[in-house]
Amino acid sequence: MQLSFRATQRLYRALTAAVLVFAGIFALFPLVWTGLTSLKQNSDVITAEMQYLPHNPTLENYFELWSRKSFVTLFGNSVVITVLTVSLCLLVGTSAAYAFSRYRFTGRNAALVGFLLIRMFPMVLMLIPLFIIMRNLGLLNTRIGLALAYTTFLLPIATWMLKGFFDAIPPDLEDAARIDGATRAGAIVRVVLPLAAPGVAATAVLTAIAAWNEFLFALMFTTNEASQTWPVGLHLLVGEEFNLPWGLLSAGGIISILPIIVFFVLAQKSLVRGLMQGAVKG
Amino acid sequence: MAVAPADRRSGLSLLRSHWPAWLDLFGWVGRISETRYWAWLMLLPGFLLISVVIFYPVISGIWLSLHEYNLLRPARGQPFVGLQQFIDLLDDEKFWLSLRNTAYFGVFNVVNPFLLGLVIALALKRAVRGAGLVRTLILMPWFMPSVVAGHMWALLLDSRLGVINDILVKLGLLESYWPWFARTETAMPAILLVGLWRGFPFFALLLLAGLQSISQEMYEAAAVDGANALSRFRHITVPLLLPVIVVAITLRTIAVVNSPDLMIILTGGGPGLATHVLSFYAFQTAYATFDFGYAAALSVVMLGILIFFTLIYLRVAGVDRD
Amino acid sequence: MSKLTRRDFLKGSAAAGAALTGNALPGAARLLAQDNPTVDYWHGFIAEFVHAGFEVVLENFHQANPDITINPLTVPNSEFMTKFTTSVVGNAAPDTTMAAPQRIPDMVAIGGLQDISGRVGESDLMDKIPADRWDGATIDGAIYGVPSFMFVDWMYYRADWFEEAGLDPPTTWEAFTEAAIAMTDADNGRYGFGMRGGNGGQGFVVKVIESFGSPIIDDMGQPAMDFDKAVEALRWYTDLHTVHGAVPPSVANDSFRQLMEAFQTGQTAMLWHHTGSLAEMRTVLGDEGAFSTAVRPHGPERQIASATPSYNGISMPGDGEEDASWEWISYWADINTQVDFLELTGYFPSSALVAEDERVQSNPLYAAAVATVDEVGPPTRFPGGPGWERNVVLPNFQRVLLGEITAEDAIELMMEGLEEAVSG
Repeated sequence: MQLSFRATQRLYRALTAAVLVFAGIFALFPLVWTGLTSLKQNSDVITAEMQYLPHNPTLENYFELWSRKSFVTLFGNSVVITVLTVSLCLLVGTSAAYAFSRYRFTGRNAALVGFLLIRMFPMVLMLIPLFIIMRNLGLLNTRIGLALAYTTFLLPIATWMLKGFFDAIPPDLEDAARIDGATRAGAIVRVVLPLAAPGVAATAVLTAIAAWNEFLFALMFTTNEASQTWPVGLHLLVGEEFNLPWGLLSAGGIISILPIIVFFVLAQKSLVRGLMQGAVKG
Repeated sequence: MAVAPADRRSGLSLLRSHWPAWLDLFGWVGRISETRYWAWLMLLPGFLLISVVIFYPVISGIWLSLHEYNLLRPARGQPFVGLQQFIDLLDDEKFWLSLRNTAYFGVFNVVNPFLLGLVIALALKRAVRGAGLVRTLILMPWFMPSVVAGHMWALLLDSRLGVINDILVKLGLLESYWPWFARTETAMPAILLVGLWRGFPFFALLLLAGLQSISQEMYEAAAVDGANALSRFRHITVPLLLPVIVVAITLRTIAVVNSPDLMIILTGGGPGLATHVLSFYAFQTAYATFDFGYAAALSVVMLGILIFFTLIYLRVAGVDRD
Repeated sequence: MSKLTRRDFLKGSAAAGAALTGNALPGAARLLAQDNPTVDYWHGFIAEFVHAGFEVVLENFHQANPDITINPLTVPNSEFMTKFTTSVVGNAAPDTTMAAPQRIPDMVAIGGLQDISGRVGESDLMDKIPADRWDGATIDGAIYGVPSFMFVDWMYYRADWFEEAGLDPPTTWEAFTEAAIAMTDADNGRYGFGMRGGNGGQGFVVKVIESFGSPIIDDMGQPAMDFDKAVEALRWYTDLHTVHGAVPPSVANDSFRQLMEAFQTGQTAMLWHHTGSLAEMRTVLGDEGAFSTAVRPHGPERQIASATPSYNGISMPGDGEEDASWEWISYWADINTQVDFLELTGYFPSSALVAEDERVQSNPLYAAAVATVDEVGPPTRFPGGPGWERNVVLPNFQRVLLGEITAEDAIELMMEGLEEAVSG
């Protein structure tokens, strides 16, 4: 049976809407539950009878979290480390990705896979050698040290992703710029990067999320409370032999996605719109 | 990103007028960029950074895998044992079980989020009303720190306080609350559900970025030629999206195989050994048993599997052909 | 509040220090470092109520020793050994650390704790703290830690339910089975016993096995499990679930959190834990008789319990900081410290003098702990013990609970694993 063009379109639209609604619910339900839990006292979470909406909604958890321990310090550390990591990854990763994308040299494929080696090697054997390296370089307990450690582990991802995006930019665009008198470096800055902006933004988001949420390195490479990060602080809310403060933990989760939401709202107009809607649309 | 020819010129001239001239004042960078050293110079920082971190751990790891080294027995030193620890692995029931679990976990924790991410990316590309909102919202699961996400899922699926159980019971799908993580048959599927939730935004983000770069004209041309939707998908979307798919799947697979996070928070490898994966085994061997030699052997095997997989996959996908 | 004060104090002293070094002659800096030593301290005071108690101890220590600065670091229990091992191997361990007795043999074996027998001998601590409290930190006659508070095993039970059923809390393993069955009403989601089958359950299994007369290791540190007795023990324990159905079906994933929530929401009638959770239990269930504490039941040979002191040890003090480190860890054995801590956290003291204190003796909830402490010692510990318990005992115990293997299979695997852990 041949459906008319109209009918097909309608069917597609319905399917699309259904997929998006499902995706939205699946993605959001746990977050909504986290949000609801953050408004409950623990006695309203640990109940025999399920409480959907908080009976006694309270913002207490947020206030307590914020006044507690050094959560402001932790938050600040994480922000600085994330910004440093993303900057380093983009700077170094762009440069390497461009070389991988535009040049053919012996050992290129081996080098590409070699870049990934650092991610393939199980973390369990990395901890002690890395700790020793960090200690010898005097990088324990420093934000730049953690940012460097994150960068080395996120660089392969950033490089691979950026290479993919650079590959998609036709080289003749660059050539055109160079005929106009730009150097290769000039062409990268003026042509390649702007065209790859959505890809660069996607890479930035990816590295930012990874750096923002990293826990193990942050725990291992810090030895005083002043240098700990936000995920470590969140982790410390959960003790093995203590009641789990569900409300506090949920509030922590909500607080930790706030900066990213803010970032998205602020950047919506420039970077992220490009990232989400495709490179050069009209 | 492929760019539609019509956009190209306007985009370029627009950029020209926007980028300040001082960028070219770094004249020496420009001059160097014209030499044949440029490629190497661009690779240098990345290589330096990575080699500082990679060589020592990997070499010491491989060295350890050939030596007996138990931290609890300092008196024994670190005698060379050759391939003995690898031979021991062959006899190790737990190893084979963990390998099987890793394969199960690895395949489904990559394929499920990939498929869901792909469907969502395809849907999002067809801009319908509200798609913009959904685009931002579906990224949220990924933003949540894993400690919160892990524990919140433990709460959602909890056998006493779990809202999912409550809903299923109210809908009549379950008779009573089900202990998802305590039963062999549902522990891994429950972890995979959490993995799907955590993982699909990554694919949706990357695949959407890839999809958006495919020019609409190609589809229109194919439609004029009489290609139906399925064949357009097969002959245009898939091949052009392939590079992004390959990158996304490779990166995700490596991350999934190497990370015991979900198991640590949700099941501790249990019940029994139902969710005991290699990454978890290696961690326990090193930091609970302190047998670093054996942990290194496990790690080297994992490294070998991942390298093998990556090379095969890249070859099959044809990414390294040039 | 106390944190703020302490921070201000730190800031002040740092400023003063900077001013001093700025004006001091060259070489004075090192001297100054010794005069104002900083002592790192790793601990696991995670929950707010116990962290608050810790802050008070810190504050008091500061007033008593204004020249010593403590640099505390909270380390999550689950990652403690990972972090500690990495730091020891990486030659950057903390000056002092909290240490659980089960972990002390491992920590000593990797070279992470110092022998402090000499300092203990010179001090008066031996008079304050009963001799057996030191056992958990003593290896081959050498002492590696000073006891602070103590976790004494006991049982929580729903006093209201027991009263309703006209039962007394069980004191033997047979009576325990009966009570667990009697309290179970699965159709209404009630179970007799909140059994720990998830992480942490391994310790209970070991204690059950020992209570049935099978030791784990002998005095020479060699494997000494008695197959028949161990099987009998494990079968009794797992039968509570597999045969009697007196345990929630989620048992194989039930850890502390799940068990506390089950008990607090009225799903289980009995729960084994220790004195450390009393404060939280009271916060949730109140003192009005909803719950009470009792001595844990006895197996055929001995009580299924131990009294586990928490120790503080010196790990790797920097130059000239060993005296300060000792000052700090021995402060935890001080009577006033332990009383403070008891009042703030409900943590049972290790000092004999404090245990005789009014606050302990007059509180009926503590009676079970007082009785238990006289009867049992620290839990079994040996190098490789925690790894064996976690990676061999726990999964095989779970497999029995799930009906995948028999108690015989499980004990066989545990004995094999023990052999390997001790000598392999």
